[in-house]
Amino acid sequence: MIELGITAVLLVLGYVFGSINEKEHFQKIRIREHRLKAFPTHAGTKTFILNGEVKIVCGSVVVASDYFKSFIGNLKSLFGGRLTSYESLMDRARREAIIRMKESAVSWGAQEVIDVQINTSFIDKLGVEVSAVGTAIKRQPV
Amino acid sequence: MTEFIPSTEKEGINSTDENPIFELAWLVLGTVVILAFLYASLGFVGEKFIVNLTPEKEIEYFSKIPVSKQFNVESNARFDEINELFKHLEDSSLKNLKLLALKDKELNAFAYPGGMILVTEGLLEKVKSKMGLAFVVGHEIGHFQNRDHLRGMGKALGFTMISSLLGFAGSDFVLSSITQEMVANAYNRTQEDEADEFAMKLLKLTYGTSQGAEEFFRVILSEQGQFSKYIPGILSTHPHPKERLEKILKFKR
Repeated sequence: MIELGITAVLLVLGYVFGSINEKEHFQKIRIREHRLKAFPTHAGTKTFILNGEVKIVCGSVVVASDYFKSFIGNLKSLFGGRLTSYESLMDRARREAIIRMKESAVSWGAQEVIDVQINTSFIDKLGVEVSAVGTAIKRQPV
Repeated sequence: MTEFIPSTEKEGINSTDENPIFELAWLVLGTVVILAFLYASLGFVGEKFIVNLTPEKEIEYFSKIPVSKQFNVESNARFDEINELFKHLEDSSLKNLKLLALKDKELNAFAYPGGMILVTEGLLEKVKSKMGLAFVVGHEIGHFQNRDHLRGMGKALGFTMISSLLGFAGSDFVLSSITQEMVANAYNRTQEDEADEFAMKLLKLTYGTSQGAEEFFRVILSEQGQFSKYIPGILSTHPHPKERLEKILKFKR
Protein backbone atom coordinates (compact mmCIF):
# COMPACT_ATOMS: atom_id res chain seq x y z
CA MET A 1 0.00 0.00 0.00
CA ILE A 2 2.89 2.36 0.80
CA GLU A 3 4.25 1.92 -2.71
CA LEU A 4 0.91 2.91 -4.21
CA GLY A 5 0.78 5.97 -1.97
CA ILE A 6 4.25 7.03 -3.04
CA THR A 7 3.33 6.55 -6.69
CA ALA A 8 0.22 8.68 -6.25
CA VAL A 9 2.15 11.46 -4.52
CA LEU A 10 4.84 11.42 -7.23
CA LEU A 11 2.16 11.52 -9.91
CA VAL A 12 0.52 14.56 -8.36
CA LEU A 13 3.87 16.30 -7.88
CA GLY A 14 4.91 15.44 -11.42
CA TYR A 15 1.65 16.69 -12.86
CA VAL A 16 1.55 19.95 -10.89
CA PHE A 17 5.17 20.96 -11.41
CA GLY A 18 5.34 19.50 -14.90
CA SER A 19 2.36 21.45 -16.17
CA ILE A 20 3.40 24.68 -14.45
CA ASN A 21 6.82 24.37 -16.06
CA GLU A 22 5.43 23.51 -19.43
CA LYS A 23 2.96 26.37 -19.41
CA GLU A 24 5.62 28.90 -18.48
CA HIS A 25 8.03 27.49 -21.02
CA PHE A 26 5.50 27.64 -23.85
CA GLN A 27 4.71 31.25 -22.96
CA LYS A 28 8.38 32.22 -23.08
CA ILE A 29 8.83 30.32 -26.33
CA ARG A 30 5.94 32.20 -27.96
CA ILE A 31 7.27 35.59 -26.93
CA ARG A 32 10.80 34.86 -28.15
CA GLU A 33 9.58 33.22 -31.36
CA HIS A 34 7.58 36.33 -32.06
CA ARG A 35 10.63 38.53 -31.46
CA LEU A 36 12.75 36.45 -33.86
CA LYS A 37 9.95 35.98 -36.37
CA ALA A 38 11.54 38.06 -39.08
CA PHE A 39 14.95 36.40 -38.87
CA PRO A 40 15.38 34.21 -41.96
CA THR A 41 16.18 30.57 -41.26
CA HIS A 42 16.42 27.82 -43.83
CA ALA A 43 16.62 24.10 -43.46
CA GLY A 44 18.18 23.53 -46.86
CA THR A 45 21.36 24.75 -48.50
CA LYS A 46 20.46 27.90 -50.27
CA THR A 47 22.67 28.84 -53.16
CA PHE A 48 24.19 32.13 -52.28
CA ILE A 49 26.96 34.33 -53.44
CA LEU A 50 29.08 34.77 -50.43
CA ASN A 51 30.26 38.22 -49.79
CA GLY A 52 30.89 38.12 -46.08
CA GLU A 53 31.43 35.69 -43.19
CA VAL A 54 29.90 32.35 -42.19
CA LYS A 55 29.87 30.62 -38.85
CA ILE A 56 28.28 27.55 -37.33
CA VAL A 57 25.64 28.49 -34.78
CA CYS A 58 24.16 26.02 -32.37
CA GLY A 59 21.25 26.04 -29.99
CA SER A 60 20.95 23.16 -27.63
CA VAL A 61 18.50 22.41 -24.88
CA VAL A 62 18.07 19.61 -22.38
CA VAL A 63 14.57 19.09 -21.01
CA ALA A 64 13.77 16.69 -18.21
CA SER A 65 10.69 14.55 -18.25
CA ASP A 66 8.54 14.50 -15.14
CA TYR A 67 7.15 11.52 -13.24
CA PHE A 68 3.68 12.08 -14.62
CA LYS A 69 4.87 12.03 -18.23
CA SER A 70 7.05 8.97 -17.66
CA PHE A 71 4.21 7.17 -15.91
CA ILE A 72 1.86 7.78 -18.83
CA GLY A 73 4.67 6.76 -21.16
CA ASN A 74 5.15 3.46 -19.32
CA LEU A 75 1.45 2.67 -19.44
CA LYS A 76 1.37 3.61 -23.12
CA SER A 77 3.98 0.97 -23.78
CA LEU A 78 1.28 -1.58 -22.94
CA PHE A 79 -1.31 -0.20 -25.32
CA GLY A 80 0.61 1.68 -27.99
CA GLY A 81 -0.63 4.89 -29.55
CA ARG A 82 0.60 8.48 -29.62
CA LEU A 83 2.85 9.42 -26.74
CA THR A 84 1.14 12.76 -26.41
CA SER A 85 2.71 13.54 -23.06
CA TYR A 86 6.16 13.38 -24.68
CA GLU A 87 5.04 15.21 -27.81
CA SER A 88 4.66 18.46 -25.93
CA LEU A 89 8.05 17.86 -24.32
CA MET A 90 9.69 17.37 -27.70
CA ASP A 91 7.82 20.32 -29.18
CA ARG A 92 9.12 22.59 -26.44
CA ALA A 93 12.65 21.30 -26.77
CA ARG A 94 12.75 21.66 -30.55
CA ARG A 95 11.33 25.17 -30.55
CA GLU A 96 13.60 26.25 -27.72
CA ALA A 97 16.64 24.87 -29.56
CA ILE A 98 15.77 26.81 -32.73
CA ILE A 99 15.23 30.00 -30.72
CA ARG A 100 18.59 29.59 -29.00
CA MET A 101 20.29 29.00 -32.32
CA LYS A 102 18.68 32.11 -33.76
CA GLU A 103 19.60 34.14 -30.69
CA SER A 104 23.17 33.02 -31.02
CA ALA A 105 23.16 34.04 -34.70
CA VAL A 106 21.62 37.41 -33.92
CA SER A 107 24.10 38.14 -31.18
CA TRP A 108 26.92 37.41 -33.60
CA GLY A 109 25.38 39.84 -36.07
CA ALA A 110 24.19 37.43 -38.73
CA GLN A 111 21.42 38.27 -41.14
CA GLU A 112 20.27 34.69 -41.70
CA VAL A 113 20.93 31.04 -40.91
CA ILE A 114 20.96 28.36 -43.56
CA ASP A 115 21.22 24.58 -43.59
CA VAL A 116 19.56 24.12 -40.22
CA GLN A 117 19.58 20.59 -38.84
CA ILE A 118 17.87 19.35 -35.75
CA ASN A 119 19.19 16.47 -33.72
CA THR A 120 17.77 14.61 -30.77
CA SER A 121 19.49 12.50 -28.19
CA PHE A 122 18.37 10.95 -24.96
CA ILE A 123 20.15 11.46 -21.72
CA ASP A 124 19.67 8.20 -19.87
CA LYS A 125 16.07 8.04 -18.73
CA LEU A 126 16.14 11.56 -17.43
CA GLY A 127 15.27 13.69 -20.38
CA VAL A 128 15.98 14.68 -23.91
CA GLU A 129 18.50 16.90 -25.63
CA VAL A 130 17.54 18.68 -28.81
CA SER A 131 20.11 20.68 -30.72
CA ALA A 132 19.67 22.89 -33.73
CA VAL A 133 22.79 23.56 -35.81
CA GLY A 134 23.02 25.86 -38.78
CA THR A 135 25.31 28.08 -40.79
CA ALA A 136 24.99 31.73 -39.89
CA ILE A 137 25.75 34.27 -42.60
CA LYS A 138 26.99 37.79 -41.99
CA ARG A 139 26.90 39.75 -45.21
CA GLN A 140 29.28 42.62 -45.79
CA PRO A 141 27.53 45.82 -46.54
CA VAL A 142 27.83 46.35 -50.31
CA MET B 1 14.08 33.10 -56.38
CA THR B 2 12.39 31.91 -53.24
CA GLU B 3 11.42 34.34 -50.60
CA PHE B 4 11.52 34.09 -46.80
CA ILE B 5 8.13 34.81 -45.28
CA PRO B 6 8.25 35.55 -41.56
CA SER B 7 5.77 33.45 -39.62
CA THR B 8 5.39 31.90 -36.22
CA GLU B 9 4.70 28.26 -35.49
CA LYS B 10 1.06 27.25 -35.45
CA GLU B 11 0.10 25.71 -32.13
CA GLY B 12 -1.50 22.34 -31.62
CA ILE B 13 0.05 20.51 -34.57
CA ASN B 14 3.04 18.91 -32.98
CA SER B 15 1.60 18.82 -29.51
CA THR B 16 -1.89 18.48 -28.16
CA ASP B 17 -3.87 20.75 -25.87
CA GLU B 18 -5.84 17.80 -24.47
CA ASN B 19 -5.65 17.44 -20.71
CA PRO B 20 -3.32 14.54 -19.94
CA ILE B 21 -5.35 13.72 -16.81
CA PHE B 22 -8.08 12.15 -18.97
CA GLU B 23 -5.48 10.19 -20.84
CA LEU B 24 -4.05 8.94 -17.55
CA ALA B 25 -7.52 7.99 -16.33
CA TRP B 26 -8.14 5.89 -19.43
CA LEU B 27 -4.74 4.26 -19.24
CA VAL B 28 -5.11 3.41 -15.56
CA LEU B 29 -8.58 2.03 -16.16
CA GLY B 30 -7.32 -0.13 -19.02
CA THR B 31 -4.40 -1.36 -16.97
CA VAL B 32 -6.62 -2.20 -14.01
CA VAL B 33 -8.96 -4.18 -16.27
CA ILE B 34 -6.02 -6.11 -17.76
CA LEU B 35 -4.50 -6.77 -14.33
CA ALA B 36 -7.84 -7.86 -12.90
CA PHE B 37 -8.21 -10.30 -15.76
CA LEU B 38 -4.66 -11.57 -15.24
CA TYR B 39 -5.26 -11.87 -11.50
CA ALA B 40 -8.43 -13.89 -12.01
CA SER B 41 -6.95 -16.23 -14.60
CA LEU B 42 -3.63 -16.67 -12.81
CA GLY B 43 -5.55 -17.25 -9.59
CA PHE B 44 -7.61 -19.93 -11.27
CA VAL B 45 -4.65 -21.69 -12.86
CA GLY B 46 -2.51 -21.20 -9.76
CA GLU B 47 -5.18 -22.73 -7.58
CA LYS B 48 -5.31 -25.87 -9.73
CA PHE B 49 -1.54 -26.06 -9.77
CA ILE B 50 -0.99 -25.49 -6.09
CA VAL B 51 -3.65 -27.83 -4.75
CA ASN B 52 -2.18 -30.63 -6.85
CA LEU B 53 1.37 -30.07 -5.61
CA THR B 54 2.96 -33.18 -4.13
CA PRO B 55 4.02 -32.74 -0.49
CA GLU B 56 7.69 -32.92 -1.54
CA LYS B 57 7.25 -30.13 -4.09
CA GLU B 58 5.26 -28.14 -1.59
CA ILE B 59 8.13 -28.22 0.89
CA GLU B 60 10.61 -27.38 -1.84
CA TYR B 61 8.68 -24.29 -2.97
CA PHE B 62 7.59 -22.95 0.37
CA SER B 63 10.90 -23.39 2.10
CA LYS B 64 11.92 -20.34 0.09
CA ILE B 65 9.65 -18.26 2.32
CA PRO B 66 11.13 -19.15 5.69
CA VAL B 67 8.57 -19.20 8.44
CA SER B 68 10.94 -17.74 10.99
CA LYS B 69 11.25 -14.59 8.87
CA GLN B 70 7.55 -13.89 9.06
CA PHE B 71 6.65 -15.20 12.48
CA ASN B 72 8.27 -15.43 15.84
CA VAL B 73 8.50 -19.20 16.29
CA GLU B 74 10.49 -21.65 18.39
CA SER B 75 10.40 -25.30 19.36
CA ASN B 76 8.49 -26.38 22.42
CA ALA B 77 9.00 -29.38 24.72
CA ARG B 78 5.26 -30.05 24.90
CA PHE B 79 5.26 -31.38 21.36
CA ASP B 80 7.27 -34.38 22.56
CA GLU B 81 4.15 -35.60 24.38
CA ILE B 82 2.35 -36.24 21.14
CA ASN B 83 5.10 -37.83 19.05
CA GLU B 84 3.05 -41.00 18.87
CA LEU B 85 0.42 -39.18 16.84
CA PHE B 86 2.60 -39.33 13.75
CA LYS B 87 3.31 -43.05 13.94
CA HIS B 88 -0.07 -44.23 12.71
CA LEU B 89 -0.49 -41.88 9.79
CA GLU B 90 -1.16 -43.66 6.50
CA ASP B 91 0.32 -40.95 4.33
CA SER B 92 4.08 -41.08 4.91
CA SER B 93 4.57 -37.45 3.81
CA LEU B 94 2.53 -36.34 6.82
CA LYS B 95 5.10 -37.93 9.13
CA ASN B 96 7.57 -35.20 8.28
CA LEU B 97 5.35 -32.35 9.46
CA LYS B 98 7.19 -29.99 11.78
CA LEU B 99 5.68 -28.60 14.95
CA LEU B 100 6.51 -25.10 16.08
CA ALA B 101 5.27 -22.80 18.81
CA LEU B 102 4.16 -19.36 17.70
CA LYS B 103 4.78 -16.54 20.17
CA ASP B 104 1.24 -15.32 20.44
CA LYS B 105 -1.24 -15.11 23.30
CA GLU B 106 -4.24 -15.88 21.14
CA LEU B 107 -5.58 -19.44 21.16
CA ASN B 108 -5.04 -20.78 17.68
CA ALA B 109 -3.14 -23.20 15.47
CA PHE B 110 -2.27 -23.06 11.79
CA ALA B 111 -1.42 -25.45 8.99
CA TYR B 112 1.40 -23.54 7.31
CA PRO B 113 2.35 -24.42 3.71
CA GLY B 114 5.71 -26.11 3.57
CA GLY B 115 4.82 -28.80 6.11
CA MET B 116 4.67 -26.83 9.34
CA ILE B 117 2.09 -26.75 12.08
CA LEU B 118 2.17 -23.62 14.19
CA VAL B 119 0.54 -23.73 17.61
CA THR B 120 0.33 -20.52 19.61
CA GLU B 121 1.95 -20.35 23.02
CA GLY B 122 -1.38 -19.18 24.39
CA LEU B 123 -2.91 -22.47 23.35
CA LEU B 124 0.01 -24.54 24.68
CA GLU B 125 -0.47 -22.82 27.99
CA LYS B 126 -4.23 -23.21 28.29
CA VAL B 127 -4.70 -26.66 26.79
CA LYS B 128 -2.93 -28.69 29.43
CA SER B 129 -3.66 -32.34 28.65
CA LYS B 130 -1.88 -34.49 26.11
CA MET B 131 -5.17 -35.50 24.50
CA GLY B 132 -6.32 -31.91 24.21
CA LEU B 133 -3.14 -30.92 22.41
CA ALA B 134 -3.20 -34.09 20.31
CA PHE B 135 -6.65 -33.16 19.06
CA VAL B 136 -5.55 -29.66 18.03
CA VAL B 137 -2.50 -30.98 16.20
CA GLY B 138 -4.56 -33.81 14.72
CA HIS B 139 -7.00 -31.23 13.37
CA GLU B 140 -4.16 -29.40 11.61
CA ILE B 141 -2.78 -32.69 10.24
CA GLY B 142 -6.29 -33.19 8.87
CA HIS B 143 -5.97 -29.91 6.97
CA PHE B 144 -2.68 -31.14 5.50
CA GLN B 145 -4.20 -34.50 4.60
CA ASN B 146 -7.06 -32.76 2.77
CA ARG B 147 -4.71 -30.13 1.21
CA ASP B 148 -6.95 -27.43 2.73
CA HIS B 149 -3.96 -25.31 3.65
CA LEU B 150 -3.12 -24.82 -0.03
CA ARG B 151 -6.60 -23.87 -1.20
CA GLY B 152 -7.03 -20.17 -1.72
CA MET B 153 -3.27 -19.86 -2.27
CA GLY B 154 -3.79 -19.54 -6.01
CA LYS B 155 -4.98 -16.00 -5.37
CA ALA B 156 -1.78 -15.26 -3.50
CA LEU B 157 0.15 -16.68 -6.44
CA GLY B 158 -1.68 -14.41 -8.88
CA PHE B 159 -1.02 -11.49 -6.58
CA THR B 160 2.70 -12.26 -6.47
CA MET B 161 2.99 -12.47 -10.22
CA ILE B 162 1.18 -9.19 -10.78
CA SER B 163 3.24 -7.50 -8.10
CA SER B 164 6.39 -8.64 -9.84
CA LEU B 165 5.01 -7.27 -13.12
CA LEU B 166 4.53 -3.91 -11.44
CA GLY B 167 7.99 -4.07 -9.94
CA PHE B 168 6.97 -4.62 -6.32
CA ALA B 169 8.33 -8.16 -6.22
CA GLY B 170 10.25 -9.25 -3.17
CA SER B 171 9.17 -6.23 -1.21
CA ASP B 172 7.98 -6.75 2.34
CA PHE B 173 4.56 -5.64 1.18
CA VAL B 174 4.21 -8.65 -1.11
CA LEU B 175 5.73 -11.15 1.31
CA SER B 176 3.52 -10.09 4.16
CA SER B 177 0.45 -10.18 1.92
CA ILE B 178 1.20 -13.76 0.97
CA THR B 179 1.71 -14.91 4.52
CA GLN B 180 -1.33 -13.01 5.68
CA GLU B 181 -3.29 -14.80 3.03
CA MET B 182 -1.92 -18.10 4.27
CA VAL B 183 -2.89 -17.47 7.84
CA ALA B 184 -6.14 -15.61 7.35
CA ASN B 185 -7.14 -18.19 4.76
CA ALA B 186 -10.36 -19.29 6.36
CA TYR B 187 -11.50 -22.81 5.61
CA ASN B 188 -15.13 -23.48 5.13
CA ARG B 189 -17.37 -25.33 7.52
CA THR B 190 -17.06 -28.67 5.73
CA GLN B 191 -13.27 -28.47 5.73
CA GLU B 192 -13.25 -27.74 9.45
CA ASP B 193 -15.66 -30.57 10.21
CA GLU B 194 -13.59 -32.95 8.14
CA ALA B 195 -10.43 -31.90 9.94
CA ASP B 196 -12.17 -32.44 13.30
CA GLU B 197 -13.30 -35.85 12.16
CA PHE B 198 -9.81 -36.72 10.97
CA ALA B 199 -8.40 -35.71 14.34
CA MET B 200 -10.91 -37.88 16.20
CA LYS B 201 -10.12 -40.91 14.05
CA LEU B 202 -6.39 -40.34 14.46
CA LEU B 203 -6.72 -40.11 18.25
CA LYS B 204 -8.70 -43.29 18.35
CA LEU B 205 -6.17 -45.02 16.14
CA THR B 206 -3.18 -43.80 18.14
CA TYR B 207 -4.36 -43.93 21.71
CA GLY B 208 -7.28 -46.32 21.41
CA THR B 209 -9.56 -43.61 22.74
CA SER B 210 -10.57 -40.05 21.96
CA GLN B 211 -11.31 -39.28 25.59
CA GLY B 212 -10.23 -35.73 26.47
CA ALA B 213 -10.12 -34.50 22.89
CA GLU B 214 -12.65 -31.80 23.65
CA GLU B 215 -10.46 -29.88 26.08
CA PHE B 216 -9.65 -27.22 23.52
CA PHE B 217 -13.32 -26.41 22.97
CA ARG B 218 -13.99 -26.31 26.68
CA VAL B 219 -11.12 -23.85 27.10
CA ILE B 220 -12.45 -21.65 24.30
CA LEU B 221 -15.98 -21.72 25.67
CA SER B 222 -14.83 -20.77 29.15
CA GLU B 223 -12.60 -18.02 27.75
CA GLN B 224 -15.50 -16.74 25.73
CA GLY B 225 -17.52 -16.34 28.89
CA GLN B 226 -14.89 -13.92 30.15
CA PHE B 227 -14.85 -11.93 26.93
CA SER B 228 -11.25 -12.92 26.47
CA LYS B 229 -9.19 -11.06 23.95
CA TYR B 230 -7.34 -14.25 23.08
CA ILE B 231 -9.96 -15.94 20.94
CA PRO B 232 -11.46 -13.62 18.29
CA GLY B 233 -9.19 -15.07 15.59
CA ILE B 234 -10.42 -18.59 15.91
CA LEU B 235 -14.05 -17.51 16.21
CA SER B 236 -13.89 -15.56 12.97
CA THR B 237 -12.35 -18.38 10.93
CA HIS B 238 -13.94 -21.49 12.42
CA PRO B 239 -17.45 -22.75 13.10
CA HIS B 240 -18.68 -22.03 16.59
CA PRO B 241 -16.81 -24.15 19.21
CA LYS B 242 -20.09 -25.26 20.77
CA GLU B 243 -21.20 -26.82 17.49
CA ARG B 244 -17.83 -28.44 17.00
CA LEU B 245 -17.89 -29.76 20.54
CA GLU B 246 -21.34 -31.27 20.03
CA LYS B 247 -20.24 -32.84 16.79
CA ILE B 248 -17.17 -34.51 18.20
CA LEU B 249 -19.07 -35.71 21.25
CA LYS B 250 -21.57 -37.28 18.88
CA PHE B 251 -18.70 -38.78 16.92
CA LYS B 252 -17.31 -40.35 20.07
CA ARG B 253 -20.52 -42.18 20.64
